[in-house]
Amino acid sequence: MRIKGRIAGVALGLLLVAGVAVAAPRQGETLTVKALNVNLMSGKSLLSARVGSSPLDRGAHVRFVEASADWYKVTTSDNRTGWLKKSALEERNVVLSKKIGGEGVQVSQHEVETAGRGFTKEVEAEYKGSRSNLTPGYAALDRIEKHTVDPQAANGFAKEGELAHDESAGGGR
Amino acid sequence: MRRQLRWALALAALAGTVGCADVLKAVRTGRPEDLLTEKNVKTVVKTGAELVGDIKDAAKELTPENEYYLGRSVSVSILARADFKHFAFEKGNPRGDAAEYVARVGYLLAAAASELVDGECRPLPIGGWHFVVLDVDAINAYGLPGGYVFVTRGALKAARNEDELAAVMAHEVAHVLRGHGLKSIKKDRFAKVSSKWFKKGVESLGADKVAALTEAMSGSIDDITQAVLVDGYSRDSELEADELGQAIASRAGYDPKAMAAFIETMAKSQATSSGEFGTTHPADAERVGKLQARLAKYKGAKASPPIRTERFLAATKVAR
Repeated sequence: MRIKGRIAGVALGLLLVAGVAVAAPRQGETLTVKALNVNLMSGKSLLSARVGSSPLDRGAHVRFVEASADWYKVTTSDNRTGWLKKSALEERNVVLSKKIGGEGVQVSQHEVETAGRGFTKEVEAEYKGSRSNLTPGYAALDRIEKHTVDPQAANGFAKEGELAHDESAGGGR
Repeated sequence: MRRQLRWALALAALAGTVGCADVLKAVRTGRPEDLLTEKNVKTVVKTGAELVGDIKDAAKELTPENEYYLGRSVSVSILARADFKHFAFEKGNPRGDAAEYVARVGYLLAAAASELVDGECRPLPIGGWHFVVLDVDAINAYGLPGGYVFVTRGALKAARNEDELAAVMAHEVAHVLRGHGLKSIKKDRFAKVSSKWFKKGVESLGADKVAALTEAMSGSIDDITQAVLVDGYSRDSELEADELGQAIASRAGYDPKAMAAFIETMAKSQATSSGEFGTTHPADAERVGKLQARLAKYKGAKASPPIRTERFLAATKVAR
């Protein structure tokens, strides 16, 4: 009977693991932004107006409000409410640095636990280390990554070109 | 020993490495021995020993964070061969307007693509999308892991309007989403690493494992660079990117006929376009035929208004 109970516990554990994997967060639960330069949007489109003047930092904590398809409505720590793509969020309250994989080669326990291992900043540093000829290329790429398109400008560009846009979001060239 | 193995199997069952049917059978019979099948024991021994060389499909092991780092280094290998600084985004750069224009077209395509992601797609790039103009004569474009999309100055020059440029870029976005770059990694690149080293954990890997992973990443970078610059992605991948790219461009509001038009333009130019940047996209009647056959799906599409051609010609004047 004891063994039967133990095995039943294992089976229950399996079911719980499967259940947790598909459940949406609870209202008020703290989630963590894991994408870089992600904009909080006023609607469920990347062409809707941005809430606030700048993108959210990776590592920012937000509170879950509701889910709609693959978008989550959230509230930021400075009380802005808007929508983020589910894929931009880690559905837990963890500590993440602004850059993926940490600021330097040192990787925090939370980073490893959240982002996993494999090809990481640490591996990139090892790869770069023996190829000094690639240094200008990485510097160029870092500059490229800093450039972001303003969603409102993009929406105005779409509207001007008679392309799919968000009528309520405005924007112009 | 047998008791320990039983515990190991119970833990493995919890971790999802042992079959559910075996667990249910053991619950029904009340005999943990029912978990002791040859297959289950082998599985536990394998996973416990961090079996090196157990990765069969690299793409399945890579998290969005892993793909971001791989894509960065592939991009650097492209940037090492082709200059982009003439089209850098810095203020005061006369070609910066062309770069910003391409980035805006890319943003609209990325927005459309995010609404079309399905189970066959990779997760959306965690570092965002980046659309960059390379200062190269050859007509080409490259969609790399991690959301990096490069378009050559030659492609800007060859396209006749914004819709053709958008079609080319949407095709590259589709390559990224379908993980075609990752599929070009040779199987033996991961021979010295274990799938366990890609799993979430609580500790960093030691120096020897980082060295093995660096070797695997270096080989993967070589394979993807070779594919995009020399060999091209597989024919199936090209056809798949045509189909998804057409859907993405159309969703953004662009003309679904534009990709076929651009392929025909490219076919005329390819005789004079050579070198490592010039020959990786097959231009042929089959691709055009398949793109045209799908037009019935896009019956409501509007014709491109003159403003799109006007602003395209103005923004890309520096490329001509």
